Amino acid sequence: MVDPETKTAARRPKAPAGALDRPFSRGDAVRWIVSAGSVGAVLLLWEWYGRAQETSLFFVPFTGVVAALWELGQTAEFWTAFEQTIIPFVWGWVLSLVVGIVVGLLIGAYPTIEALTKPYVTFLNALPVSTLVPVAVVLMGIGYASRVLVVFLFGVIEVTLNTAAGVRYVDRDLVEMGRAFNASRWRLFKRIILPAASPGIMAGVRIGTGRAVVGMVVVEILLVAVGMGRLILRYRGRFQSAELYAVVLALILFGIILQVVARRVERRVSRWKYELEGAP
Amino acid sequence: MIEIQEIGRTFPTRDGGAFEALKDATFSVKDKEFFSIIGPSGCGKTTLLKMVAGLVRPSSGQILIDGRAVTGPGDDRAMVFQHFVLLPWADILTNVGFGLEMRGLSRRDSREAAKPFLERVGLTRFADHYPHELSGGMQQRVGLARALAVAPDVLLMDEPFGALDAQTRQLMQEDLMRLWDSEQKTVIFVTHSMDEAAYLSDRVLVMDTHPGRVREILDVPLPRPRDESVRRSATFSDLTAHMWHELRGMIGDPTQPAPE
Amino acid sequence: MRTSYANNRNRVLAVLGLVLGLSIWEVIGRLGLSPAFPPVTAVFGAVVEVWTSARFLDALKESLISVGLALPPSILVGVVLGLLIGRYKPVEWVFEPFVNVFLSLPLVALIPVLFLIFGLGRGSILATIVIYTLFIVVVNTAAGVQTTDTRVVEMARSFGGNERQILRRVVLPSALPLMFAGIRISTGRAVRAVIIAEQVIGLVGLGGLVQRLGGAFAVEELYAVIIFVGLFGLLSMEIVALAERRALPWARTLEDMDVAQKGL
Repeated sequence: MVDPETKTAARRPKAPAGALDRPFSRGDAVRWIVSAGSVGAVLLLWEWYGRAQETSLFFVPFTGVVAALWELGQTAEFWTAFEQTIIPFVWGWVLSLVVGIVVGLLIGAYPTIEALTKPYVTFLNALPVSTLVPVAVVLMGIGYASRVLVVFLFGVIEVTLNTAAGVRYVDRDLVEMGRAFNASRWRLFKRIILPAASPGIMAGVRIGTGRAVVGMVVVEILLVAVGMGRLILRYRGRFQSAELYAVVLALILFGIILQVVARRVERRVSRWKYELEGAP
Repeated sequence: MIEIQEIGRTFPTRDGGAFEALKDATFSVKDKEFFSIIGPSGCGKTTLLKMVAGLVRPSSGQILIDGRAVTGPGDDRAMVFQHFVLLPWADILTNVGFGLEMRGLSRRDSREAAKPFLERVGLTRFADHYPHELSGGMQQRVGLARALAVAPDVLLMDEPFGALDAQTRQLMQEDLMRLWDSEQKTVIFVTHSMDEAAYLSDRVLVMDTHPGRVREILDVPLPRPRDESVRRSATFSDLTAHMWHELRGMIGDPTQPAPE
Repeated sequence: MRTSYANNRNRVLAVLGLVLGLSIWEVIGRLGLSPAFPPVTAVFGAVVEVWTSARFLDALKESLISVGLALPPSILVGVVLGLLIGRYKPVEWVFEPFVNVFLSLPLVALIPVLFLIFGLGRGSILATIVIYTLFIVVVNTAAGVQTTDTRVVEMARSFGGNERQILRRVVLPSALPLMFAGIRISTGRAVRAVIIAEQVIGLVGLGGLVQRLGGAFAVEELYAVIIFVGLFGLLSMEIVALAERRALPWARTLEDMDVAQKGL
C-alpha cells in the first residue's frame, strides 16, 4: 500500500494470516468438499432413515421437518408463541449482560470484592442452574417475571466471570505506564483498563448469550404454560412429530444465529488482541 | 569432511510467488573443525543448518558428507537447538537419552546409556528433575548432552546460546570450548554474535542476505586452547571489527521501514 | 505468584463473604418476605434430614447410575475421535461441521427430540449426557494434538524418530493437558445434563426430586438438594483436577483451559 503523500510504503500493521485472508487455494476447496460431503451424507441418511420408518411418530425425515417449519412459519400462532418466548428472553438477557458486566468489573478491579464473592460465584458456576427454576417459580410464579429471572440467572454467571477475568488479566505494564504519565483513576479506567478488558468482556457476552439462550429453552421445556414450550407440549400430545421437530429446529436456529452474531462482534472488538497474540 | 555445493532454497509465498532464501551457497567444512556461520536475521543460516541436518531439502544443489549425499537425518549428525526443545513431560535423564531412543534403543537402555553424558555436562544431580525446574543454561546443557549421547561425527548448533543471558552465555561458551577440546568433533555453529563466532571458531562464514549466499570465509588465527585473554587480543578485535563492517553494510539503516 | 499472606487474606475474606451473605439471608428468612427465602437455619436443618433420607439417597443413586453409564464411554469415544481428528486432516474435515454445530447450539433444545426418539426413560437421560459431553472431549483432545509444539516434533525427527515414535513419545504426551481439561469440563457438564434430563421427566433421580419438591413448595428441602448438587458438581471437578495434577506434574493446569469455551 503506497501512501501518496510520501510515496513510501506505509507502515500498516500486517493482519495475521487467518483462514479468511489467504487466497482460496486448492487445499481449501478439498476441505470444503469433504466437509460439505459429510454433511450431505448425514442429511441423506437422516432422510432415508426417516422415510424407512413405518411411522413418522418418532423419527421424521429431514425434508419433513423443513416442510413443517415452513408451514409453521406461515401461521400467526407460531409467531405469537415465538414472541411469548422471545420477550422474557430479551429482558433476562439484557439484564444479565448489564448486571454481569458491572459486577464483573467490580470483581476484576477490586481483589477484596473478588474474595468476598468467591464462594457464591464458584458455587453458582458449578451448580446446574436448571435446579433454580423451581425456586424461581416459588418466588415469582409461572409468569413473565420468573422466566426473565431464569434467563438472567443462566447468563449472568458467565458474563461476570469472563468480565472479571478480562479486567484481571489486563497487562500490568500498561496500567503502570498510565500511572507513570499521571493519569487520573477515571482516565486510567476509560482509556486503558476498559479497552484492554474488552476482548474478555466480549467473550463473556458471547458465552453469556449462549447460556441465556439455554435458559430460554429450559424455561420453555420446564415451564410449559406459554410460548414455544406450549407448542412442543401440544405437538407431543397430538403426536405431531414433524411440527415438534420443527419447533426445536427453530429454537436451535435462533440459538445458532445469536451465537454467530455474538462471535462476529467479539472478533471485531478483539481484533487488536488477535494481532498481538494470535486468534484463539 | 562436509561439502555444501551450490545450495539453493526457494519458499512459496502467500501471494503465490517465490521467496529465494538461499542461492548458490558453496563451501566446505573440514574434519573436526569448529565452523561458525554468521549473518543478519533472515539470511538463511538456520535453513542451511537444517539442510545439513537433513530436516530441509534443498531446492537445488547437494550436500555431501564424506562423499555421501545427505537425504535425511542420520546417525552421524546431531542437533542442538536455540530454545533447548526438551520434552517437558520427561525427566532430565530420559531427555538426555531421547536421541538414543529415537535411534531405536528402549527407554530403559537409553536412560542407562545417557548417564555418562549427563555426568559430562555436570548435571547428574538433576537426573530425575523436570526441565521446568532447571535454568536456561542447565536446560541447554541437557540439550548438548542429548546430542553428544548419540555419538555423532558432526554437531549442528543453531544459536544454542541465543536464549541465554549474557553472563550464562559466556560461561557456556567456555564450557563448550573445554568440551570440544576433549571430544574432537566437527561443529557447525550458527550465531548472531561476532564475539561468539570469533571466540569459538577455526573459521567463520559470513553470509549475505536476500538471497542468502556465501559472502566471505574468514580464518580465525587465534591460538588454542582459547581462554579469556583471547577476547582482548588485537587479532580478536580486528576480526570482530571486520565482521561488523561486513554485517553492517548488509543490515542497512534502522530508521527506514524494513523491507517487506 | 500470590504470597501466602495474600492467600490467607483471601481465604478469610471468602469465609467472611459467606458468613455475611448467609446472615443477610437469615434475616430475610426470618422476616418471612417470601416463601422462596426460608431462614438459613431452617435450610441447614433440612440438609441433615434430607441428605440422609431414603428418598434422597435413592434419587442420588439413580443419577449416579446414569452418569456412570454414559460418561465413561462418552469420554472414551471422545478421546479416540479427538485423537483421530487432531492427527488426520481428512478426518477433521469430515467431522468439523458437526462438532461446530453441536458446540454452537443450545443442547437443551434437543432434549424434547431425544425424548421422542428414546422415550421417557433412562435411554434419553443417557443420550442427553452423551451429547453434552462427547463434543467437549473431542474438541479439547483434538486441540491438544494440534497444539503439539512443532519444534519438539522437529527435534525428534532430527534424531531419526519415525512417525510411530513421534506419535507415541511426542504428540500423545503433549496432548494430555488439554485432553484432561476436556474430561474435567465434561464431568461438570455430565452433572448438568443428568439433572436437566431428569427434571424434564420429573420423576427419577435428583432432577426429578427437585421438580417434585418445587411443586410441593417444600422449599427448605429443595434448597438442601440444590446445595448438594452444587457441591457435588464442584467436588467431582476438583477430583478430576487433582488426578490431572497427579498425572501431569509438569503441566500448568489453568481453570480456563477449556478450548471450546474460548471459542474454537
